[in-house]
Amino acid sequence: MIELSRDITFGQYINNGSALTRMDPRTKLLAAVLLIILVSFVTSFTAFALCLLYCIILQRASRISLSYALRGFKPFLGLLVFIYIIQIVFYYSPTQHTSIIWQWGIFTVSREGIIRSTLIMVRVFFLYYFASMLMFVTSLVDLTDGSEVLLSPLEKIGLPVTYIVMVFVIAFKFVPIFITEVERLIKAQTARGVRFDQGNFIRRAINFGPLLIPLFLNGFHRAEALTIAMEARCYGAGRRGWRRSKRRALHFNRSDILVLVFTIVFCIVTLIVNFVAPF
Amino acid sequence: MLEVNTVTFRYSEVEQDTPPALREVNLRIDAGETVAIIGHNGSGKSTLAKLLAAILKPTSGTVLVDGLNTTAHGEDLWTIRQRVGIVFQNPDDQLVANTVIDEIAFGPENLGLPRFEIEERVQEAIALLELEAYAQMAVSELSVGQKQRVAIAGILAMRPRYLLLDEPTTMISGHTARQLLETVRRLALERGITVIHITHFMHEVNAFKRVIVMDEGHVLMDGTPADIFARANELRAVGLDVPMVTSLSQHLRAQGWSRLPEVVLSSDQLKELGVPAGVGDTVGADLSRPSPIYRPTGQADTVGTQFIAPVGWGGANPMPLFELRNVHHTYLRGTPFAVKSLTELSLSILEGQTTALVGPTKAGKSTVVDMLAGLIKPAAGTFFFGNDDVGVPSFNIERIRSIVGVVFQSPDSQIFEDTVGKDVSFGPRRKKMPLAESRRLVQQSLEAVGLPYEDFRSRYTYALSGGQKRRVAIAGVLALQPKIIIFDEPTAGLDPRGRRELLELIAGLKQQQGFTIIYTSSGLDDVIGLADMIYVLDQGRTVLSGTPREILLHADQLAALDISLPEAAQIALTLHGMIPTIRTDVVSLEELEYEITKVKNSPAPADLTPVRGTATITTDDQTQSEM
Repeated sequence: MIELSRDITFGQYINNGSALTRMDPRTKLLAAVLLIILVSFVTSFTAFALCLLYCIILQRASRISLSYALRGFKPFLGLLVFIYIIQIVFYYSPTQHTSIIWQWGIFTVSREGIIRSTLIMVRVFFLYYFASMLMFVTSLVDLTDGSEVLLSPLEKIGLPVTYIVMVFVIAFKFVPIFITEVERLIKAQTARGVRFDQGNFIRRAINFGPLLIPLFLNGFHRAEALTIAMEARCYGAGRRGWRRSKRRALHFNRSDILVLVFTIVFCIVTLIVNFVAPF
Repeated sequence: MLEVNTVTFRYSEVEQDTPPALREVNLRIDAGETVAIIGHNGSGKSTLAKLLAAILKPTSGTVLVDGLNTTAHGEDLWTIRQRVGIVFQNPDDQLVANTVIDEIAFGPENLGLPRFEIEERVQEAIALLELEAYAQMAVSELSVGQKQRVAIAGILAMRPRYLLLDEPTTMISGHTARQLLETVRRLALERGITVIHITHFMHEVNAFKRVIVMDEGHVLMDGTPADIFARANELRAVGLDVPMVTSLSQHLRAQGWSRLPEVVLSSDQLKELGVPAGVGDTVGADLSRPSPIYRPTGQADTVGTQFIAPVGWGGANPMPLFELRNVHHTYLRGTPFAVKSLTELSLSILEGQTTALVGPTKAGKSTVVDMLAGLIKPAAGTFFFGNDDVGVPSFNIERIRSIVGVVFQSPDSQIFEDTVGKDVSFGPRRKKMPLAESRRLVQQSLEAVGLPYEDFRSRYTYALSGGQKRRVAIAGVLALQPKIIIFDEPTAGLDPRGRRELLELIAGLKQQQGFTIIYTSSGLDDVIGLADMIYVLDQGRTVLSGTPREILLHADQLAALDISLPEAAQIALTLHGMIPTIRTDVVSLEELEYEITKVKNSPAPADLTPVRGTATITTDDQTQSEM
């Protein structure tokens, strides 16, 4: 039977007391943003190999099993492979310079096509890895506090940062609730004769259709209840100049500075490598 | 002071023809009072709470909190929300942060307090609710009862003057609920907080100084618990129960125990029963001819043994439908969140019987339900369906699914379609049944659950009441023509009337249609009169099994597992401290009364010395009394 929460790992926080969980959330957020920008720009396999090294260090420091860290990737694997193939056979070079390996009708497989598509897939993998690793090692409250501080300059131009961050926090909080809800609905439907574990891909996708309405209805209901509960505890409350205070103070340690410096240096080195070694 | 001045409230401005949720309510609650507001679902009690907390605004009339009008904005509204804290029914709807300590700090943070003061208030609230061990845990790891404590701590950290509890015990059971109320009571005393407890459970109100009974949107009664319970017949007329101990003493008084107080609120007030009968009293004479009403029909002498034989147990050995032996199961296997839900669980389900699975949260009940419904296979151990091993790869799990129907805990996740007819026909349509046949099944199923087909088939499912939704969910299962029906905590969240009706329906289904029934519950209340066999589970294993009567003999163990005893057994247990010869395995009020009369009528044995005042077995009734 489907145990969704086994496979959907994105957004989970694993409190295993590793060095990464204890780090200042601002450090982790900044480092993650830097790395995500880096992998979006990098275009050479050598540079990606360096990123892989960084990932290995991260993976060791997080003390999370590799299989768990990558499990969240599994549900998308089929879709990614499909996109990969489509990209290769419909690759269109802007310079018209392609070395064709195989051609059949409108489908062509070229060297450039393979390289480009592979790079995109590798990039997607790294983006997923860095983003999910940030979630694995940072609690929701840490994420909130960290991003509120980092985004606070935006308040000067009139953006309601506190509210925006709260919206994201609650959205994340709802992910596990939604997953449990889906599991419950699947069970209820299975018990009434729907077969989620049989049939082809399309059949299965169609089966999920009827889940959506109860899922969203319950979602709205919960969101409304939560709004009421938050307001009743003086959140917002329409008071002029309202501002929350914080129980927790964030502390930058020496190790945080070290990690940040290391990450910045790493990014610069990787960018240089990227230009020096274009493959 | 809270003042409600001729308040009328309608949820919809448009539908003027429907009765308002509240009409012309007048109420005054002084600072420091402890008030219980009781009424069945739809009586307006929750609406009243939301009006007091300034969540809703009255349609007409005014609600004042310390003189501030709840229709105010800005600073005044802020002050009201700071002074009035409200705890809702479902803790999941109100918990915002993801760890306990951050959750408790949420309110003080919103108040913009300096860091040291937030810390001080959070620590204080944690200490008050005894949450020290959980402070750093994720809220999602807690049980519902613990979550509710966290919710209360979160409110207390804001240092409110008024604490509104809107049915906080609906989702938690017996002992945990009583503990929670006891904590609240203590807080009210120590901190001088005004507590307003909204509930539909009568047995919870006797610890409060003042009880307000709501019905049809207005205040029906307002007085001390004793005043209220003296009007038992009026309460029953509006669908509320009086505590069993109150009914019992009324019956006994009617039979001649004139020394019993007129209104008994807790079982230790029955201590008069411990005094030997006939001392300056006419009781003995009266009881020499027991009243026929309370005597099981014409079998006075054999009644004891007759009750012991479990229904349907004798005769030919029925075939076990399911057989679980040393079953293990782990959820989220291979992740950092792996939870062992079953360890060495063994049980068997016999055809035609009602089997109850009773246990606290996380005992493994839901896992067993999933297994018996053919939704999961055990990770280890043997699982037999009839004579076939479910564990072998060639076993077709469809065979189980096709004869087992499951009524899940929350009807909302079981109803998929927009109209009742479409929803009930969901199963038959999946089976590609001919239209006429499917129609007949839908009609039959709806009528079996007491919903007239013509009236209900085109009604919208979202507009049904909680009780009706549960009935539709059951009809949807009946339409699958199962042989076995699993009910997963079906009475959770229902008010006493809804619960009684549902239990009657289930008993009826069993009797008339001969279903094999599996029923899970966190307390013994529901199942004591319904089940043939009870399995008590704890931490994934079977700890007790037997007939209802056999289970009741293990009162201490049940208490340790936080499984609430049925009211009758609870009273018998208290009485046992005063009258040692009384049996404690009584399953109903009638039986308890019969026991009491029988004991009192028998010539007093030498050791029947009354134990005055101090009962040897402490029940929670005692700790709650005299609030």
